[in-house]
Amino acid sequence: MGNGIFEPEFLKRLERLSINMEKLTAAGSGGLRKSRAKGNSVEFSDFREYAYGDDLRRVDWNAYGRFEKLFVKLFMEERETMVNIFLDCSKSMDFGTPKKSVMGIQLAAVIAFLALNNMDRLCINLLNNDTVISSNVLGGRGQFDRCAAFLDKIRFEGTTNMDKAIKMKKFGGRGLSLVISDFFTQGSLEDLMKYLMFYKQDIVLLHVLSPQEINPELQGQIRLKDSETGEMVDVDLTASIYDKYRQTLNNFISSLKEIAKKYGGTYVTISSGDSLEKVLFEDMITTQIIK
Amino acid sequence: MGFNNPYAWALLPLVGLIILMYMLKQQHEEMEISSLYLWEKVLAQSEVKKPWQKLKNNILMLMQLLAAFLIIMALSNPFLTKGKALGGNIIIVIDRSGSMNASYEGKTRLDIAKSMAEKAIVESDNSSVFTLISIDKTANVEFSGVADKQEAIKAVESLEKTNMSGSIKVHLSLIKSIYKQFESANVLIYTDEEVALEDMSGEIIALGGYGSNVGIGHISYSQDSGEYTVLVRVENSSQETEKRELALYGEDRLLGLKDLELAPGESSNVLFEGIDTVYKYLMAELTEEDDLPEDNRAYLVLESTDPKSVLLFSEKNIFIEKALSSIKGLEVYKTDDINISAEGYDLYIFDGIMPTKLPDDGSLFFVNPREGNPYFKSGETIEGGRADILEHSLNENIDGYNFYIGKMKALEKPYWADALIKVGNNTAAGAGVYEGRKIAYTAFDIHDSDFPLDASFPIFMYNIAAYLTDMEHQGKSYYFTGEIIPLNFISGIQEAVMEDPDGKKTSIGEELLDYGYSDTNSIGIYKLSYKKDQDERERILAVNFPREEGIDAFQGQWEGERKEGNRRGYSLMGLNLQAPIIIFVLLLLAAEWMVYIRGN
Repeated sequence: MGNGIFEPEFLKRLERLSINMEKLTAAGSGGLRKSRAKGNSVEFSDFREYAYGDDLRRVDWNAYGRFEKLFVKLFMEERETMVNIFLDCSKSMDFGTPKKSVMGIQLAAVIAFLALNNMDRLCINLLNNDTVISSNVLGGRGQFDRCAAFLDKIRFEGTTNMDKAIKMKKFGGRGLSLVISDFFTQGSLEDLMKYLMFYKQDIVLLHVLSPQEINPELQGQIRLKDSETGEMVDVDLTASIYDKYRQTLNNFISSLKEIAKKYGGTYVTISSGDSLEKVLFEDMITTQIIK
Repeated sequence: MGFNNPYAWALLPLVGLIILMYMLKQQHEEMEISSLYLWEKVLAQSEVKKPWQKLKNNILMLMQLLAAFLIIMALSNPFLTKGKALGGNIIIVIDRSGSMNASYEGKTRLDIAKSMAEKAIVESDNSSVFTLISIDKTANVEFSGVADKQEAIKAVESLEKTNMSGSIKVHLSLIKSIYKQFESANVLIYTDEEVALEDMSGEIIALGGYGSNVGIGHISYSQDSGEYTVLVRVENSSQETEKRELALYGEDRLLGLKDLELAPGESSNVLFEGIDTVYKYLMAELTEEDDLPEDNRAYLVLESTDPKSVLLFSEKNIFIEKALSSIKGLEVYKTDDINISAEGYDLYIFDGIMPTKLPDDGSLFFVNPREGNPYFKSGETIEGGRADILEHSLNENIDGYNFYIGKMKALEKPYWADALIKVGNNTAAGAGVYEGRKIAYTAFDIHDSDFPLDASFPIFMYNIAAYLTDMEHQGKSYYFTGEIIPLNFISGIQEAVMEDPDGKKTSIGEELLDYGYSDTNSIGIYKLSYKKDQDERERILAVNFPREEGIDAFQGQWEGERKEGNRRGYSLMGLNLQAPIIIFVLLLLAAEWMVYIRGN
């Protein structure tokens, strides 16, 4: 794997994890995701009295023996979920030490791994230049290699209008949408959320920032160049400017949190400087995105 | 603040060039970041975005800007002005007539004029050349062409007040002629009189104004049955009603007091009656001080009551007798006895007849002298003609008159005599001093002319009699300050000494008697002591403040006048700032260098 992120040890740990879906979708074919619907799984859920038309195979004859009443065993219906990963592939993501793109790919891969491992269906969508490039819908553990190969070919370049790009994606039904981006994006994030809501998506915003963005350590007169647009701005970096920057960043994060909360989503700030373990086992577990 | 070379400010845009160069020069370390998304938000709320804010903290550039600005300023040759300074030829004219003694808040107008003139001298350009003219009764050029400011200031300081009447207008032609001597000049006239600069450039500094003043305008007396009645005219030249107390003194004794209330501009005649005749002089005084104290006192000399005696030798000349008898202060005696030996008279008049023996004392007046007269070479009788009264001090008030003479004697005019009346080339009347004796004559019989019918006759007789008897001039019971007191009323005097009211004594030589006494600046009583015929004699004279100075002093204010003319006299001078600025620029550049070295 090009990004070299999946050590066997790490994968082993991943196998114990799964994506937490509060709202399990009713639709979709059988998967490993527990559904609220009762159905055809090995996992026992409840008993109820037999009613006409019930499958006789599900009658608990032992219970009949004890109570002389027909009871039917209810089992959890395990269903698959459609997991969509949206990865921002703008040039800005290919930035930072370590690069945000690496963290983005790693996160996408981990989620893909978890999804496939959970027998969910998975689609990886690359957002770039107002368009979306989607992988095939993958399902089954054996598909992870294909997924990894897809991720390996990603190029981070250009700008992204996430709102526009995501609207290019057609959703089949309910599902889980994870957006991995630095959200330095054009277009309205609110529109994006509305669009996802419309398609009954559980939304997770994974906000990846580089350590340099969280805590810039520049000094003096600097000509800042936008990696995406090439636009330049001269800044005299003083303490007060730094204060303002931090304030602006905090406001930005808060506004993203607000939006996520408003549309029932989950938001996590992730530093590309952190290890993947920390991100997974601290940040994401704390926010109960995975468990 | 002004600039000798304001064109230098045209270089000011160069300062902008420095700013531009700095802005271009500003080298930013280029750094690529993921996105300007956040930074744009930061900059949107930060002033730093504004270009000029970039200049902040850039001390080097600020210093360079300041240096450039100062260099341009230095090139413009700036100076601090203390008003516009006069330069070149400055003619300072200070009015020091009596009205300039009017005071305002304890300072007289003359004091103010002097201090203003001194200030003008101090503030004038160093190249200035001063001329100082003081105006009182006359125009006095105190100095001319003085370039030394200290000397000029000293001369201005030493100007003293006078009580004289004087007018700038009268002397404007002198000022103008001095002004025209110079190619360019400025006149500074300090006066309380309203005058015009006319074609001169310069300034009239008006010092006049209103004030509280009541003055004595006139004092006179009349004699009636051994008592004097004294008339004092008091004039109010204030803008308000004034109350005053008028006192009359006989020498040092208070004779009367009167209270007065005068409306603005009003004058009042005050009579003091029943004044004893024992006093030599009187003084009227307004007891309250006002803005012009000089006109609060007036003196009056009461005439000596000693009559002069005249002996007229005449057969029947009623004209001469009548003319003489009308003269106050003369006691006329008449005789036709040529054999009497007369003596003790002040004047002997011989009308056509001669005594056997001429008297040894007194003056002599011969009318139509006969042959054998020791003083004249008698000639034959000739035809007369139009007789012209000549211009002479003895012909006061009648010069230019003429009358006709039927016949006269062709008398040769003696060398000691001045001709008074002439018919053609012949002298018809003359007078002079011969061997210490005053002698006058006419070469014609009064009856052979229409002279007695002419108005000039009694005056001629009065003048001759007054001259010959040393009689005092009538009607001059006081003089005004600055006026010349004539002393030719006495002849044959020695060792005359004048003591002025301040006690200053001046001896007057014989040759100056004809000119008179001119140092009459002080108000009060002057004493003239002299010797005549071995007798010590004394005579007092009164000098008063001129009325018009008191009246004119408070005629109001006017703005003065200012004409800058061709401005050549003016130069924009003051404290030149060029050198200090250059020094400061050098220091600034040194400091900038230090900052630069440290910065690197």
